[in-house]
Parts: sequence; structure tokens; C-alpha cells
Amino acid sequence: MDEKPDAVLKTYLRQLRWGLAPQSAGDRDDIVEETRLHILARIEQGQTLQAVLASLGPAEVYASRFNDEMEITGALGSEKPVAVLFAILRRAHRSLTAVAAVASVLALSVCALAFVVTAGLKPFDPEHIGLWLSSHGSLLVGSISNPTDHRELLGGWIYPVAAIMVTIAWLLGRLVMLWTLRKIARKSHV
Amino acid sequence: MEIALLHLLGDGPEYGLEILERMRRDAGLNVAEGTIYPLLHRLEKGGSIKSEWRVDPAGGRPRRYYALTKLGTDERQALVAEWHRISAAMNAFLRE
Repeated sequence: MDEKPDAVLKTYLRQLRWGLAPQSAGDRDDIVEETRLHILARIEQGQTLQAVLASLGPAEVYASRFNDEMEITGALGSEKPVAVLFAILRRAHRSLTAVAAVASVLALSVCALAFVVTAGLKPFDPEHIGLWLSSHGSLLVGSISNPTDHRELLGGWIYPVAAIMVTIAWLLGRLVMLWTLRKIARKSHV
Repeated sequence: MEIALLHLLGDGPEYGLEILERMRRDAGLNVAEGTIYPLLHRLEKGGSIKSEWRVDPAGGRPRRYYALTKLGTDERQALVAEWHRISAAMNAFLRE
């Protein structure tokens, strides 16, 4: 094949560049040029252009691999919970680990939110709002209409307990999300 | 795959195509053609490796060479140690 790329190669590289839109101009240029040189080297080794392009996959799919990797790296590098959570959410449809992590973070958040709301409303109706233990041994946080067969466990301690729950949910949720994204990053090449 | 790549770069800087070939030939890994460069770019963004374009003095095409950074060298050592620990435990288990 001549050094000058033919129309098929040009189209592939143009589509790759479009697919790399989330990347910086410098990264786009580097990736496209590296891909072009890789394809030309393979052709010099005797492969056909079609075979090389087929081994790389469709341009938009190939570009999405770079975008996925960069998103993971950016999220892990920043350690910002929102960036990490969105990176995990975008992989939830193809990763059971991601689904489990999102479910865990959601459960932790709901639990912490229940304590915060309960603590916030406690001063307005202390007789009906709190952490309750029923006669059957089940726990309930929030408001109940008939407190006669329940025992309130925390009283004023609901405030520090709510703060502790928020802290635990934050720290544990963050750990779960970072661990999950690192696991996804390693698994993506196995 | 990451551990194989970092280990391979411990021998010195390499360019993408040669890395791919060595991972297939030397490590026996079935590495898909389209996976090596995204991984290289992620490791570079993460600071484990660095890259530079080199022009072939013999007039060949330029190539982008990848090399381990200090962080990558430390990660490589940690990953290799972990691999030996796991494989030793698994070997002992399978001998039982």
C-alpha cells in the first residue's frame, strides 16, 4: 500500500476523530496518528486494510474504548464522588459489580437520609418521631401513629447518630465506588 | 493484562505494535488488536507510563515509545508481588 492513505483509511480515521470528541485536541491527534501508523505497519507486514480495520473494530467502537478509559482515569484521578458515580452508572448495564455498587450506595444514602429527615423533624413531634423498636423486635426510623406498642430508642441522641450515619454513608459509599471503578478498570482488559 | 504490560516495559521503552506482539508471543496473552492503545493511554494519563515520539534514523515512520515512570515501576513491583503471592497460594491449594 502507498504511504498516502486511501479513501477507506481516511474515512476510518475521520470517524475515529469524530468519536474522540470528548478528548483534547492533542490527545485526538496523537491517537489518530498512532492508529494510522499502526494500520500502515500492519499492511507492510502483509495484512489487508480491511483485515486490520476489522481487528481494530468499527471506528466509533474503537474511539469509545479510549473515551471509556479516559473517563475512568479522570474519575479515579479526581476521586470526585459525582464523577466516580457517573462513571459507574454508565457501566451499570454491562457490569454486575457496577449494579451492586450502585445498589449499595443507594441503600446507604437512603438509610442516612432517613436518619437526617427524622432528626430534622424530631423537634416538631417528639412523641411520634424517632428510632423505634416494635414489640416484634423490628426497627423503624421515622414517624409512627401509635407509639404504644413501640419503644423509642434514641431520644436526643438521634442528632449525633444521624451525623454518624451520614459520615459512615459518605465514607463507605466513597470507598465502595472507588473500589468498584478500579475493579472495572482492571477487568476491562482481561 | 496490565501486569504483563508493565512487566514488559520494565525491559525498556517499546512502541505499541511491538508491545502487542510481545504480549502475544512472550506472555501468551490473546490480546485483541484494539485494546492495547486505549490501555496504554489510560496508564499514561494515570502517570504509570510516559511516551515520546521517536523518528527512525533509518528513515522509517515515527513511532510512539512508551516507558515506565517511577510510579509505574512501583506499581509493577506491587502487582508482580501480588501475582506471586496468589499463584503460590493457588499452587499449594492444587497440590493438596
